Formats: sequence, structure tokens, C-alpha cells
Amino acid sequence: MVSMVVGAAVRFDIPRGLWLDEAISVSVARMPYGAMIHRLATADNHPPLYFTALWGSIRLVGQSEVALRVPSILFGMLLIPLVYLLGKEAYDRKTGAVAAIFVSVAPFAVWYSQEVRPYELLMVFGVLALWAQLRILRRGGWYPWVVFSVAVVAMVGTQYFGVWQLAVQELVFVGAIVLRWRRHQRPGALLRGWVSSTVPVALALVPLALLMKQQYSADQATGQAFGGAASVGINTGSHSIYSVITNFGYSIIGFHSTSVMSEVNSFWPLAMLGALALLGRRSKPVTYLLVAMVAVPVTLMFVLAGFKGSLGDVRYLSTTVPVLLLLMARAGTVLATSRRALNVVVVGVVAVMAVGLFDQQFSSSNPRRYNFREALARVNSHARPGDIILYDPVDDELNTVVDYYSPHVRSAPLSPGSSVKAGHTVFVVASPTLMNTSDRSTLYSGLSHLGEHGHRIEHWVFPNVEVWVYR
Amino acid sequence: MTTIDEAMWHDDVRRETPVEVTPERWKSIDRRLRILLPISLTVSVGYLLWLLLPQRVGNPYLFGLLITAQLFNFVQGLGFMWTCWPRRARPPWPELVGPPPDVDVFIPVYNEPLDVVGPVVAAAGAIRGGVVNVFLLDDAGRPELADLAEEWGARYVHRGDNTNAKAGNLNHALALAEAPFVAIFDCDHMPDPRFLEATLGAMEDPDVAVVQTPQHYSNARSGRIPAAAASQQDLFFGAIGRGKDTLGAMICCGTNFLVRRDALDDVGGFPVEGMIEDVELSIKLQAAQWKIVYLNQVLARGLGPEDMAAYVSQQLRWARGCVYAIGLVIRGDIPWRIRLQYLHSCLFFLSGWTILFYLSLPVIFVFTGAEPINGSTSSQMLLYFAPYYAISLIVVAVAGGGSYTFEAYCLYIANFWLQIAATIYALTGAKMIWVVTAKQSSQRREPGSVAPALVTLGVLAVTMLVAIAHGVTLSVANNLAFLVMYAVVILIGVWPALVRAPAPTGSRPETPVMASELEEW
Repeated sequence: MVSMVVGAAVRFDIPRGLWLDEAISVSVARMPYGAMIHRLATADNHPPLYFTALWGSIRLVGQSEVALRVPSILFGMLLIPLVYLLGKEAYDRKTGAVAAIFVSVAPFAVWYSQEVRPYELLMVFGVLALWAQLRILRRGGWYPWVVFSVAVVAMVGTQYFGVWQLAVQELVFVGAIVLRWRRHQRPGALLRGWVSSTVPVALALVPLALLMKQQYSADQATGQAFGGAASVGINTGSHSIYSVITNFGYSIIGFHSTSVMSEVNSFWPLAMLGALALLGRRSKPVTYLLVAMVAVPVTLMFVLAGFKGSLGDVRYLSTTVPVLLLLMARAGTVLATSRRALNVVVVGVVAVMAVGLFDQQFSSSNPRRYNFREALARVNSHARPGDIILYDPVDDELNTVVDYYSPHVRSAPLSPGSSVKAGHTVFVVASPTLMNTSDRSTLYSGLSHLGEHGHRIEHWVFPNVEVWVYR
Repeated sequence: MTTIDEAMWHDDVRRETPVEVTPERWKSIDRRLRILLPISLTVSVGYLLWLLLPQRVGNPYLFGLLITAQLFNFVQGLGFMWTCWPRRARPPWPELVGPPPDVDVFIPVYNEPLDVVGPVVAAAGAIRGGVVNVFLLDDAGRPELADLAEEWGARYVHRGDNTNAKAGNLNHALALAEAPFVAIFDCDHMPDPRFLEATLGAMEDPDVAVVQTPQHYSNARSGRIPAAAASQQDLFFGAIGRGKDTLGAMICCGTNFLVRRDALDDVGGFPVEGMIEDVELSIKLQAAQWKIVYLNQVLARGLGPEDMAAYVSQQLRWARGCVYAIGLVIRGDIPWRIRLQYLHSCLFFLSGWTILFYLSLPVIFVFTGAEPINGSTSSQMLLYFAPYYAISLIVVAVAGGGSYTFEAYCLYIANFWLQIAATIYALTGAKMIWVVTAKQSSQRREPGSVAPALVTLGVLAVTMLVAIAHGVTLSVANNLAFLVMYAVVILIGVWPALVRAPAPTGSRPETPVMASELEEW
């Protein structure tokens, strides 16, 4: 309960505004439902479940910044008791409680609880599917099969990369059936349940597969290549072991500046100590299962990131984060030999996470923090009728952000021929960190063109956002 | 005085004994090892090849030493993999045919307490399966031991001097004994009544000289030291012992074994030249083409070292003996397979040097800035090192059936200096006094027993402070993390010497539990 209260408190305190990926969600969910699905099929690469939830939420609670985040916040709060249940099912109440405490303040979980994107839902459905699988393997019964089937479809329906976890879970079922058969332990009930689940799950995934095919074709046609994700500050997409460690760091202590993460990465020998501390501990089969739920998706994404660097990002592996936190909780409960020692471990981990959370939420050096809200608020305070905001990148997403925060100021994409009209002010809002070299050079040539027709009177710098003011 | 009932075996040994693994569990371990060992070999070779590229060279001297240390560890790892590689187990030996043979049971004693020796003498007399003549070989000439022997129907032997320590004591007794088989138990290892029933069958093969059984520490619960020492023993008498047996390369381990008298006479009795008569006996027996077999069944309950001084004394003796035996193994006229196995075991006791080198690296970096690996390529190191390290740990954990604990590892690392001291002793030929491992805890703090480790800790701590004072760059942070890791491991290793040792065996103080009882992770 305390975890829930703390978890809710930190999730409702939202210090950041919308950024471009969130703007995509907002612009898509504002459309009529049919148009939204069409847009997803032709100009996006995500499955529709989260957007459907957001579409409903917008119509129910509105479009204020908090309202837009309601689905993520609610699922973020739901994740806490679900992780407790998973921990209890996998190990015991104590482990479940410790894992829930970790999740309540885990910076990564908090971040995506506040993001108008699907990743928090992905975590929730992933945890639910795991819980149901453990329940099935240990106690059988029909209703965990229903929960499992719904959860895995929802998981893939939220984010296609949920399919990694689904694949591991299906393999575990097959392995369990074979093992029971070889041990003469009557695998009939498990086999029947598995078939009864797999058939409807496969049928439910067919429309998603068709949608994905359509999205892939559309992406190929526009030359984006499938999965063209926006770069998000620090280059975790580089294909190296350090990108894996950086992503591991993100999942435990949250998003921080490159220099902080590099320093944290340098402490990798402490992981050797952690591994040594587990010597002499026999592993439960459930631990192997949980480790597989982390290791397999991470390995596959590491391989994929070799072909497309932007896929080496922890948000696509969101299903692994609650499992990782649960494994940490388990390590704590087995290594701490007394209640006092466990308290020390929990307080220590929570303290580290709390520091990470604070830095993530409030530090301007967080590479995933795009402060369009503050930048545009300052623009609003200076803008007079007739002034204009020129934005770059010139995508629809930034247009949505500008419209959202500065609805009363005219706006247009920055172009090489943009100029300053006499007596009016031009505010160029741009995020160079989101641009590649060529886009950046276009930005700077646009700025120099503006400079030729007017005077640059201000240059405001915000986290990952810059504003140039010309008159 | 101990009664026969107290001295007798009781049934909970299996629960206490992770070393005695069921055939089903061995099958499960073997299945995993068949997958893990090839992966481990591949990953180890990959790491080594990466390391050996010329562009890795940082400081050439440190690099040379690093390569030497890593090659040493690689060869040790290779030997471990070879030993533990799943092979068809030797079929169980036949039942002993004919009337029960005469067996002389030797219990060498020096200064061990009466309440330790008493139960062993009592239990020896109760061994079934042979006509047992128990010899209590007292090297201290204590009248109370003569009384004890008389009480339990054992023959009391005192030779008047202590020449050649335990080996001399045993050889003196051999001159008095006549049975075709001799069972030897240290005076703190209480034999199971089934000892001969379980081992004599092996002697149906006339080439078998020794049947070795595990050294199991039944006092593992009585403190951190015996728990960690037991864990170390369990790895040797579990996976390693089983592997050596399938390779025909088991080593006689000095206690809890049955030996054929003819074989002993053939090699001139127990060797008296070195520090560990058992390894030297093994070399001589193998050279004379006798077989040493291993029965992975706990048939004696022993007492492990209960405090740090006892542990240090025991390990120093073993290390010095094994380092001394390296030359004997190389020179010995024994088959290559056995020679390599014995070398692998003896060379293990040089690994303290590699530990010293690894401990020195962050210290050298902080004070001089020198690194063995070129900084520009060290960023790739983790990609090769992490899988190598992880798979090595997994192999040890799986092969040992989970018996090898973190605390055992820490105790081993913290006492790295023993192996260095043993090498120096062996190289200089300095005489080392035979010290019997103490059987009861001194119940005192013993910082003196771990002084070199404490000095090391101090150096690590000072280096940490200097590193922090210099300013934490990325390289410094990395070395700082290594310093913290080493310091934590050594601190855990020496900790039992810094706190008051628990009460002697019998009581169950504090926390230690057997590896098999640790909560599953």
C-alpha cells in the first residue's frame, strides 16, 4: 500500500512537457477512430492498442497535459501491485513486496508512467502474462489461461517487440509439456490449455501481422525503413557492449547525461562482485525463466541493433525492466541473511533509485528531456500579434507540440527562404539533438538566411531545445 | 568419556553433505556441463585471442605479466573443464568374495584433544566388513591415549620420536601391522561402520592400491571458517574427485582411504621426503602402475579447521606440499594423462601469484597511471571479458552442484598470500615445522593469522582514498570499482579472524549453514 501511495505521488508529479514522440501519439489520438487506424497503418509502425486507449482517454478526460498521460499513469500504478503478485507467485510475499517497492520508485517505470507512449502498458501486459504463466505451470486452472491469452495479445497489440517475450513464454510451455511427458507427469491438462490458448492467440495476432505488413510496406515506400524511431539524445544505438550496459543502467537508475552514464558504466566490476555473491545459491527453475525473459529479448535486440542502431534502446525492451527489478529484489531477499540486512539493502537500493529519479526528472542534462513546454512558454510571453514561430525539425510532430503549447501564435516550418517581416518577431524553435548532420546544416543555413534579413536579438537554450529570436 | 552411541554415525549425513550427489543429480549436472563446457571453452579462447593481439599492449611489462597470469588461469580453467567433462562413470565394483579380510585401521595422533580422538577410535572399532585391528598411533606419548586405546580394544603404539611426522608415524606402524589392507583415518575423521563394506570390493581388482573416500567436514555448521572450508572441500571431493576418478588420476588425500599393503610395500611405505605424504604416495603408486580409485560416498565425518589459525596452518601445509610436488610430478615416470592431472592440481597452489598481480593492477594504475592494456582498445575488453567471466562462474557453480559458496571463494582469495609463502618456502628450501591443524576453535580474535591480508586491505583502502583525492575520471572510476570489489572480497574472507570465533563444535552458534541449505536464488 505504501508502495502504491509513493508510486502514485511520484507519477503524478510531472516536471516535463510533451516531446515529439508524444506529439505523434497526441496527433494520432485526436483523429476520428477510423482515421486514426488508417494513419497508423499508413504512416506509423506501432500496433493500435495504446492509441485506442489514448483515443478513449482523450474523449473522456480531455487533453490537458495530465489528462493525456492518464492511461500511462494508471497503468504505471497498476504495475506496482502486479509486480508484487508476480514476485509472490514466483517466490514469496517478501520478494514480491521488495520488488513492488523497487518498481514504485524505479526511474524507468516512473518515466514511462508519465510518457504519452505505449511502453508502460507493455510492461503491465508483460508482467501479467508472466504471472499467468507461472500460475498455469504451478496450479493449472482455466482462468490463468484466459489472463495469459488476453495479456500476450495485448502485449503484442501494444508494441510489436512484445513478441520476444511471447516467444520465450511459448517455448517455456512447450518445454514444460515435453518435460512432464518425459517424466510421466500427465501433461494432458497443460497441453489442452496450451492448445486452447495458442489457437485464439494466433488468430488474434493475424490482424496485427497484417497491420504490421501494411506498415512495413508504407515505410518502405517512404524510404524510412521499418521501425524508423526518433533518436533520443544519448546514442545508445551504438552497437557495443557499453550500449547494453548503458541501457541496463537506464532500466535501473533512469535516464541521465552521457557523462553520468559513462561514469556509472565504469563501475561494471561491481557487477562481478554481485555475480560472485550468488555462488553457492542453487537457482530455482522460475529464476531461469525470469532470466530468460530478460536475456533472450536483450540478446535478440542486441543482434537487431547491429543492423539498425536505433533499435538498441531500452524502451523497446520495456517488458524486461520489471523482471529485472524482480530479480534484483530476489537477490536482495536471498543474500540478506536477516531482516535488518534486508532493510539495509532495500533502503540502499531505493535511495540510489530515488537519487536517479530526482536527477532524471529535474536535471537539464537528461538527454531524453525535451523542454518544449518552457521554451514555448517563453515565446508566448514575448510574442505579439503578427509574430511567427518557425520550427525545425519540420515534421508534423513538432507542429503538434507548437500548436499544443502556443495555440495563439502563428507557426510554420522553417524553410531556407524564411525571412523576417518588418516590425514582427520570428521565433525559431528547434531541437538540434533530434537532427542528423544534414538537417542541422539546413537549420543553420535557414538561420543565417534569417540573419541576413533581420537581427538576431535573443538565443534561449533549454534542455534539448533552442530558440533563436529575430526581428 | 564419549560413549559408543555418541561416537556412532547418525543418519543425517546425507542432508549435511552436498558432496555426495545422487546419480540422478549427476546426470542433470552432466547434461548442463555438456552444453556449458564447449561454450566456456569457446568464450575463453575468444577472450584470450582478443587479449593476445599486439594492439592491446599498454605498459609492456604489465601486459606481459597480465598475459602470463591470464594464460595460467586459462590453463587452470582448461584443466577444470577436462576434469569435469562428463564421462561414463566407472561401473560399481563387485561384492567382496570370500571371508572378511583382516584390515588394520591406523589412527595417527599428535596433540589432538582426547574428546576428538575418542569417538574416532570407538567408531573405528565398529567398522563392519572386515576383521578390524585398530592402531592408535600416538606421536606424543600421552598415557591417557593408552587408556583410551585399551578402553576400545585398540592397539596403542608410541614410537619414541617424531621423525618424519605423520609419514614416519604411519611407516612405524606398518612395521608392526600384518593385514593385507590398511585403512587410514586422521584422528578427527570418524569412520562410518560401512566403510569397508563400501570400499573393499574395489580391492577385487588386484591393481587397485588405494580407495579414497571424501573428506567431509561435519562441523561445517559451527562457524564461518569450517563452513567455507567445507565448501572448498566439497568442490574437490565432488566434481573434481569424480572427474579424476574417471580419468584414473585420483590423488590419495591422506585420510579416509583404504590402501593395499602390497602396494605400500612396493613403493617403500609412506614417502617421508616432502610435506604431504599423500600426494607423494600417489605419484609413487601411479609410477608403479598401481591404481587409485575414488568412491564418492561419505564414509567418514571429519572436523574441518574451526578458526583462522587452523585454516591457515592447514592450507599452508597443503600449498607447500603441492608446490614441492610439482617437481616430483614432472620427474615422475607416470602416464601423461595422470601427470597432467596431477600437475593441474599442484599448480593450482601457485594461483596466489595471479591474485597478487590482479590486486596490484588498480594500485599501480592509481599511483603511476600505467595500465597493462592499451586504453584505446580497453573499451572493447568487456565484450570479451564479461562472457568469459560469467560462463566461468556458471561452470563452477554447475559442476560443483552449488556446493562452492561465495564465502569459500572469499576465504580462498583472502589467503592468496599462503600460496606465495609456500612457493617461497619451496624455492628457498626453508624448513617448515609440521603443524597439526587445530581441531577446536581458539575462540579468540586472530588478526595475526591474516596479517598479510589485512596489510593488503590497508593498501587497497589507501589507494581508494588517493584515487578519490586525485579526482574520479572514467579510468579511475573503473579501477576504483575493482579496488572496492577486491576489498569487499578480502574483508569477507578475513572477517572470521576479526571477530571472536564461535563456541567449539557441538553448539550451533551464529549463522553458518551448508551450501545446500542456502535459500535458493
